[in-house]
This record gives sequence, C-alpha cells and structure tokens, in this order.
Amino acid sequence: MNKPDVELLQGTLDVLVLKTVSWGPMHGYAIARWLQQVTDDVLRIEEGSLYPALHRMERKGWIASEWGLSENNRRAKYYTLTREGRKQLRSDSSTWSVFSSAVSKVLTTTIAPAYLGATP
Amino acid sequence: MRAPSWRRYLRFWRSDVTRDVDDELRFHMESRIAEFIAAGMTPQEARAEATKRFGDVDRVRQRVEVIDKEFDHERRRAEMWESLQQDLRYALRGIRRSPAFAIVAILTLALGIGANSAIFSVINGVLLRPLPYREPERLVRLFTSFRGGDGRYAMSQPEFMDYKGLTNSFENAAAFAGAGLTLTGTGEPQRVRGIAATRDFFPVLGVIPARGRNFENDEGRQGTEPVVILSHDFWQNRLGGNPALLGSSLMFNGISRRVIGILPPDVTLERAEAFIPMFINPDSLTSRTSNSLRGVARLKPGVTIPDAQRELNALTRRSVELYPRAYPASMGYGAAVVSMHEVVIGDVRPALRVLMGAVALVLLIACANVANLLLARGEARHREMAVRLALGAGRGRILRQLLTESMVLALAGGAAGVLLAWWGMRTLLSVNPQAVPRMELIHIDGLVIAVTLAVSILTGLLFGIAPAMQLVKTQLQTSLKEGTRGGSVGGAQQRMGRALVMGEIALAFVVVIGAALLIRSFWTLRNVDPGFDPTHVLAVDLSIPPSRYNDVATIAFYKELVDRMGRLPGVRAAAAASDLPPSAGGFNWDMLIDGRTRAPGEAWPSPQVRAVTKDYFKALSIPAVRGRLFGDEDSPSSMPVAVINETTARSVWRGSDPIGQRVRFDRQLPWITIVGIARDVRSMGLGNPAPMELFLVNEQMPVAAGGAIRDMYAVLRTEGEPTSLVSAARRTVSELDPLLAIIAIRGMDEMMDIAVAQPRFTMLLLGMFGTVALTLAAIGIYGIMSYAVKRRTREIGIRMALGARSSDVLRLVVGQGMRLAIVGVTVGVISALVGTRLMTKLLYGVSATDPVTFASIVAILAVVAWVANWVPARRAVLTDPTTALRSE
Repeated sequence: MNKPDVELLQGTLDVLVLKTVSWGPMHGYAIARWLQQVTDDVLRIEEGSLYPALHRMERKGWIASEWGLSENNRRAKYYTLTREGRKQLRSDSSTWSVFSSAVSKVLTTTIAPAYLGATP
Repeated sequence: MRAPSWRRYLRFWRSDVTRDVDDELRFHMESRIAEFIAAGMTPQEARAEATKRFGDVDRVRQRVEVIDKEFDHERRRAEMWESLQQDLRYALRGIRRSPAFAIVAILTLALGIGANSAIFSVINGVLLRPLPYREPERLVRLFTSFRGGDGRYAMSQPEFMDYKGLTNSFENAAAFAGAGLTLTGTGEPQRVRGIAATRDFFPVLGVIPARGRNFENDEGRQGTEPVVILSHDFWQNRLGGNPALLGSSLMFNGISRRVIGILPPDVTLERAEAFIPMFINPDSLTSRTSNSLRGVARLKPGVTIPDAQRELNALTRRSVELYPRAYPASMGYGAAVVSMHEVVIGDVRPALRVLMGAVALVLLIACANVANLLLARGEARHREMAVRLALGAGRGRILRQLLTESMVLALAGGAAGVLLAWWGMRTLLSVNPQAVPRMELIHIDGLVIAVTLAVSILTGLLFGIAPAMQLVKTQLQTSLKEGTRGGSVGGAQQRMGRALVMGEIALAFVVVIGAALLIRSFWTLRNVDPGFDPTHVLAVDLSIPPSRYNDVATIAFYKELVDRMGRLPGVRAAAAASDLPPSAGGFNWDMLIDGRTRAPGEAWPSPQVRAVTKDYFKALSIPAVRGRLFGDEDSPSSMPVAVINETTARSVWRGSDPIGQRVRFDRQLPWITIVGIARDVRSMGLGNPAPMELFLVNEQMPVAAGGAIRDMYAVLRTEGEPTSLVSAARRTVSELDPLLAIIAIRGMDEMMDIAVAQPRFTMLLLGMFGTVALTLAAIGIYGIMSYAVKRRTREIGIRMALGARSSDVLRLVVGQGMRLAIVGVTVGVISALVGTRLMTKLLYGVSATDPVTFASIVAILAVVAWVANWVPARRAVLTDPTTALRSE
C-alpha cells in the first residue's frame, strides 16, 4: 500500500485531538488509533508527538485528564473535552473549513490570472 | 479548569509527575505491541515497529514532564492563593459578624501600634538617620574641659592651633563660632543666623557647595575681600532663590559681602543661614584664656575617639606645664573629643529611650487586651470549632484561619496606627517646636511604614497565637458535650485571661509610674522659684553691628533706647542686659581680688559677668540682699562698681563681708568696688543652681572691662500684658536705628516655657502613653470581669434566691477581681522599682522611687480596678433572680 506522506500543519494536530476526544473520554493510545482509522492512515502522525500536545492542552484547560481502567483492566490516563475545549474546537473547525475551502479554490480553479495576458 | 478531585489527595503525598508520565507512555507502547503481536508479529518485530511509530520516547517524555511540572507549580500557587483568599473571606466574615469586637480590637491596636510608630519616627529622624556629611562616623567635635564642668567648653585660638597642629589623630580640623549677622538692603533689616568658620570647615565636614565654591586662601583675613556662603533654605526662602545672586553682593552688618557659594539643600549646619570666613593668624594668636571657638575635626581612618582623646590628654598635660599662668592646676584643664552625632542628639537620647520603653509596654498591654477579647470570643466559637474538627478540618488549617483573622485585625490596627502617629506627631511637634533637635527630619517615611508593618505582623502573632492554640486544642468530646450547656467550658481560657489581666495591670503600672514621675518632676521644675518675676516682662533681643558702632556709640545707643522705652506708656521699668535668665550664655571671667594672692596652682574665681543698665534689677524684680543695687549715681565717670549674687558672695568671700571689696579682670584695668549683693537667679536653666554672677554697670563697661557689649537684650516691666507693647518696642528701635534688626521679641513667660520645652515634650508624651496604658488596663479588667460575672449570673441568681444579700454577693465577686489587681500591682511595683531607675537622668527634684508617687499610683490603679470590677458585678446583682436562673 502506497500512502502519501502528509506532514501535519502546525496546530492541526490540536484540532484533530479535540475532535477525537469530543466523542467521549479516551486514552492517548485510543486517540492515536482512532485518528489512524478515520484518516485511513493517511495522516502519518508520529505517535509520540501526540503526548506533548495532550499535556499542553490540558494545561491550557481545553481537556481534562483522569486515571481510569482500560478495556483490558490496566491503569490508563483518560482525556475528556472541557467546555473551554469545546469552544476551542468550534472556532478551530470553522477556521479550518474556511482555510481548506480557500486552498481548494486556488488549487482547482481554471481561470488564469488576468494580468498574464497583458505581459509584454 | 479544576484538577480532578482525587489529584489533590495524591498530591498529599506529593504526586509524582515522572511516574505518571512513565505510566502513560508505557501503557501506549504496551498496547501497541500487544496489537501487533495479535496481528501476527514476533515480539521483537512488534517492539521495533511500535518504537518506529512512536518516535523518540525519551524526548517525548522530557517534553511532557516539563509541561506537567510547570502546570503543577501553577496549580499549587493558585491553590495557595485560593486558600488564602478563603481564609481572608472567613476572617472578614467573622469580623463583620461582630463589629463591636472588631472596632474595639482595631482601636486598641491602633493606639498601641501608633504610639510605637510615632516614637520610632522620632528615633528614625533624630537618632538613626546619619548626619548629612561624608563619613559622619569619623567626625568629632573638640572642646576644652575644666574641673567640675560638663566638659564641653569653647576653645581659644592657641588651644585650637594645638589640637590641630600638634596631633596626629585628625585628618583635618576647623574652628567656628556663632556670628550674629544683620542683612540690610533687601527690604526690612533681617537678622540672620550666621557662623564664622575657618577655611577647612566645609572640607572637614565633607560638604561641597551646590553652587559656587568654598572659602579659599586667606579669606577672612583683614584686608581680603569680604565673602559669604549661603544655606540653601536661606537663598531659596528669604532671597527668592535667584541663581544670579551668586557673585553679587549682600550687606551684612554694614559690610558688603560677595556671595561665593550656596550649600546643598539637605545640609543644615546648626540651622545657620550664612557662613562667613574666619581667619586665625598663627603669628598673632589671641590669649589662651579667651575662649570663643568651637571645633570640629575629622579622624584619620582607623583612629578611634579614645585614641584621639589619649593624644589630646597628653597634649593638654604638657600645656598645663608650659603655661601655668593660663592653666592653674586647680582648674583641671583638659580637652574633650566627642562624636558629632553624640553632640547633636546626646541630650534627647535618655528621653527617647524611656519613651521607647513606654510605647513597647503600651503595645504589650494592647496585645494582652486583644488576646483577652479573642479568648472571650473564642468561648462562643467553641462549638463551631468542635464541629469543624469533627467534620475533618485539619487543626493546622483552622489555626491558619484564626491567625489570618488576627493578622487582618493587626494590619487594620497598624494602618490606623500610622494615621494616628502621623496626626499625633504633627500636633505634638507644632505645640512644642523647640523640643527636639533635627526635628525637621521627623516624618513618616518608608522605613517607619516598614517597621510599623513588621510590628503589626508581630503583634498579630503575639496576641493571636495563644487564643488560637487554645481553641484548636479543644478536646472534641468534652467541648461538644460541655458546649451544649455553655457551662464551665474552658477553665483554661479563664486561667489564661486572668494571667493576661494581671500582666496588663503590672505593665500599666510601670508606664503610669513613669508618666507620674515625669509629671511631678516637670511640676517641680516649673514651680521652682527662678529668683525673679518673669510675668509682665517683655524681652527684646538686639545686636548692633560693630561696623557702625564703636564702644562709645554702643553704650550711648542702649542708654538712649532704655530711656525711650522707659517713657513708653504702660512701662514700669526698662533696662538692658547682656544676658537673661533662664537660659543665659555668657562668659566666665577670671576675677582678681584686691588683697588676695593666688597660691600656686590655684585658679582665680571666675564668675559669669553680665553688663546691665541701672534698672535691670527693678525690671526683673530681683531684690538686693545686702548693700545697694545700681542707681543714677553710677555714671561713666564715677567709681566703677559691681553687684554680685549670693552664690558669688558665698563661694568667694565665704563668711566675710564682700561689700566694699575690690576686684578687677585684668592687671591693666581699674579696681571695681562691690556695692551690693543681689538675690540668686536660676539664670542657666531652671534645673540648675544659680552660677556665680557679677553685674557691671553698662555705661562703665569700657572702663571696668575694657570694651562694650553689642549683643544685648532690652527688658521692659509692663503694667499689663507685655506682648501688647511689642509694636511700640519695635517702633522705638527703628526710630533710633532703622537699619537694626530685632533678633527676637517675646514675653519672658514664653522664654520660661521654651526653657522647659524638652522636659514638657517628654512629659506630655509619656503622660499620654500613661493614660492610654491605664485606659487599656481598665478596659481589660472590665472585660474579663464582666465576662466572668456573666458566666456566674446563674450562680448569683441561685444565691440571691436562697436569700443572700446583694452586698455579700457584690463583695464576693468584686473581691475575686480585686485579687487579680493586687497581684498585678504588686508585680508592677517591683518592676517599676527596677525600671524607673533608668529614667533618673530625666527627673528633677523627685527620686526615681519616690514613695508618694508610688503610693498614689497604687491607689489610682486600685480605684480603676475596683470600678472596672464593680460595674459588671452590680449589674449581675441587680438582675432579677428568676431571669438569672433562666439565663442559660
């Protein structure tokens, strides 16, 4: 299977993580797994980079953490979205949509810049 | 966001960030590996693949740990702040719930802390602040000393040259002397406080003029250009602060002097306004016995005052051998080196020390009072505490809350105290401006505020800790049970309260005794018979410039002035005198006695010599004891005569009759016949015995003493209020000489007041503190007794119901309170007997252990204690027994 190697844009990981935990409490490993599944493993996140992002967002108050038991009865740290985080997610997603639609407009347009014709 | 609740407990045994991060990352790795193995990889392959996907584990761990640790700190700080806010809210709520308690506590503390701030502001301004000179600790003043004196006399020119030139201790030395200056040509003639100083004066002090320059070369020598250096204040306030003044000329004493320098603003040298150069010509020094110079010197680095003193001692011993005529052995000539600081503030130090002790005691009393209030209040809160403890609140936490409450009270008290101190000092110093040297430096500054803050915090701990500990120590069970009936809870509190009250009474006793001794001493001083009658006398302080008046003109001026003033309506007698009681300066002159020879090593007696016009004794109502006083027959051409005072008669002529005896002041001068003895006058301080005095007729001064005195006082005995003649007196002076400035004009009553300004200041302050101490102690007794009585209302009710007479019950209750007072007073008397010895220096005419004072204060305290006991007891007795029985 040949997958495109997509480098994540700065800040994108945050919004992805926020969206992921919005489904319910999740530990880091589950977040990583879920992101891979949903994106069909297109976004090659280096799994390790997930953790500084999680802890940074916890400190900012966007997510909260709690130790709990995993499916196979092991001690795991679960993250949940806070109200603050939900707000952040909302504003980040809309920014992202505007951004991505603007980018695709540029990439898919067939109209050449007008001044090109005027060039001597 | 808030941390999950279990986290707090975890943190109790210090949550381990490292371990948590480890766990989290290991869980990830192990889950990943397990998944790969389940998908069919070998364990090695699985681990390799998982690690590849994860990236650098160590780097991730490091980054996460840093984030978490910072987070942890933030949270901890926030929590601390939160709990402090909680404590503060709790404290404020508690205070709001009992505003009366809070107000009494804060006022009490304000009095205690305010008194301390006030005295500290004085100490800070007067004692602690370094003198505004370079390395002031190396500055000393030089004096001559004689047997029996206070060791601080002026020097003569040769003596100064000895001290400066023949010693190794000093880097440099300078001489100076007061100089009366009158400024003319800038509107009304102005009197200016002047100092004549040698060239080295400012360099020795390390003062550099802010503008212009110091004295140079031979300035001050006859024939050089007259110059002057001005103080900053004088230049700013009296000359308008114009920089162009530098280099221009001003007329002082009729001489035009060029302004060559202006001093920096913070330098206040003896409050002098103008400095003129003094030149000491080593080739023509004045006589060794003509002492008029004051000296200041800078010690070489490493040289101590005792070193310098030793060197001067050796020097003066040699002088006594070399100049036996100038220094007869009986005179005990020596020199004294005294630190500059000591000279400036020496006089007030004992007073300040006593005041500081007093305010510390007042603060302790205030603390005891507030502690008592807290104890009484604590009793009401027993159940609250017991419940909170039962619900699992930590003792430490409750203690912290209670102490926060104390701190809030103490800080509020401190803030109110600073205001009180500021206001109080302003008032006191404006009433008593002459009382304290360097007074202009006294104000509430940062240091005073900082010290007050520290004192407040300490105070809060001091009065808060014991009652708080009491509350927290409460035995859970007993307290819950006892509390329900409100019965004999907290015997410990009661005991502590009683101990506090006894201590308070003892402390108050010491302060009040100190105040009482000072008041008595002040009264004795104020009621001392000065030997003359200061009421209805106006004194005009004059100085006439030698440039315009020779000896003859000076004498004529004062004769004419006194004649004219004597003719003013409302004046009974007018005279002029070279010095006036009660704070005369003046010179001691060696007096040669006709028919006596001096044994080797014996000094001639040297009375203070005063020049007066003939009606001087009449103007001050000083009676003759024997012989006659001066009259019209004593003219410039008649036989020179003198009047001596009783002390001179007694100590010089012992049993024999001095009248008709002849004395003179120099071999070149004619004999002067003693014609009368005047009554002794306390001319050099009301607390000091009369010095030897000899009066000469002013008109005879050129003959009898070889010169005229230019600085004199005119004194008027008036029929009515002396100050009503101020303008008439001024007019008379300016009619005679419009260019003459009057130095001061005031009633002698006022001069008497000024003479006792410092003792009065100390007395007022200590009296105030004594009153505060007594009031606080009374409040303390009242508080503890009314509380005790209230607790016994039921018991009293029963006794009354059973037929006890109210007088019996009253006696019982009051007696119990009085026992406290008796113990307190006893401890107080013992402490005071020791403590008041420290104030002996401040007392005049009363012993530090004066039995009458002690007895009366014991009585006063007993009465205060009795009233404070009786009022609440009486109230209890008056309560209807049935209400009393139901009261709990």
